[in-house]
Amino acid sequence: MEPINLNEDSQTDFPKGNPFEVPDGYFDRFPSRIAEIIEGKETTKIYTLKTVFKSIPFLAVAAMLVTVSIIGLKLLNQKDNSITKEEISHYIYQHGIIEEIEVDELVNYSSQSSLNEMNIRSTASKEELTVIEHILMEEDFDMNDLINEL
Amino acid sequence: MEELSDRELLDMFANQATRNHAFNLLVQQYQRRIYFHIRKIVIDHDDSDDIMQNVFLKAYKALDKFREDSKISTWLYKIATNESITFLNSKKRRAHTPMEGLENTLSQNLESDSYFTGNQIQMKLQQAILTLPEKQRLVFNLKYFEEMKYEEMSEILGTSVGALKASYHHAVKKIELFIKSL
Repeated sequence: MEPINLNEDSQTDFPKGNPFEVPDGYFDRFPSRIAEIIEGKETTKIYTLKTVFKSIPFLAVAAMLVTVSIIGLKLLNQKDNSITKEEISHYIYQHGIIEEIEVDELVNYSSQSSLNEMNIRSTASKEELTVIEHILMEEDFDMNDLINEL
Repeated sequence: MEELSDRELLDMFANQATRNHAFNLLVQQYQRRIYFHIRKIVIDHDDSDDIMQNVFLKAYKALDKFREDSKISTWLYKIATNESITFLNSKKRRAHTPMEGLENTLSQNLESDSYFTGNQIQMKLQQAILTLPEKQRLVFNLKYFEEMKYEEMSEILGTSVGALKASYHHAVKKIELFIKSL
């Protein structure tokens, strides 16, 4: 490797040879690799192990975003289905169902109680269910009517 | 391997029966020059390999429209330069790094690169080149290592010959200054 000046008036000598190398056989394999892609034998890009490792941080970020989105959507759906204390309070006040019980007590009770539609269906008789459904279908439904019938 | 002229390659490429063979010959003919041009810009072998693949696939798709107002080699250098610059810019954006930060990274990569076989002086020279602004770096590499004429360089980089000469002169001065400061 012969040292030469960078230009005529330069005082510094530097070797001009190529300091970079390639893996063994790289230039023997490269033309056939391109030919294979062109001929459609290989439609996808060849990824080296290093390229795959380089993309791991981006894949991790993408996975995290997807996870956060899924959790966020689930939380949003839950919020849509839940009834706030204010809504319960407003409903009770409007329909005059209960006056003495505090809303917090009602919420606690409903969360602990096993009373649900299935329980009502299993404990009420067929005739009673027919009456309940009939009352519920009426536009001017009144809770007192339902309590009296039962 | 005896090199074919641009005309011979283009005639073979125009014929459907010899098209892929012609392109294979073209790749064999220019791959080394194009690879080392890319490698001096992006430093890393795997990155250079990715860019090489893109360059030759783009060339294959566009060779039918090649107008012969330049040599095939000049045209390939142009594609390779653009692809390499695009690659570095996207790398810079992904890492949220300013260009100087990227140059430092490239310089560090050089020290740990198992495919860099230069001696200490060559290492210093490459590190000095990496401190240059992008255009000066391209001009210096093409002129100093590949001994390309300014006229051809002008076609590749879209810059006047006078501006290229000035760029090379500034690059040399900066490299000397960098080396002296070590």
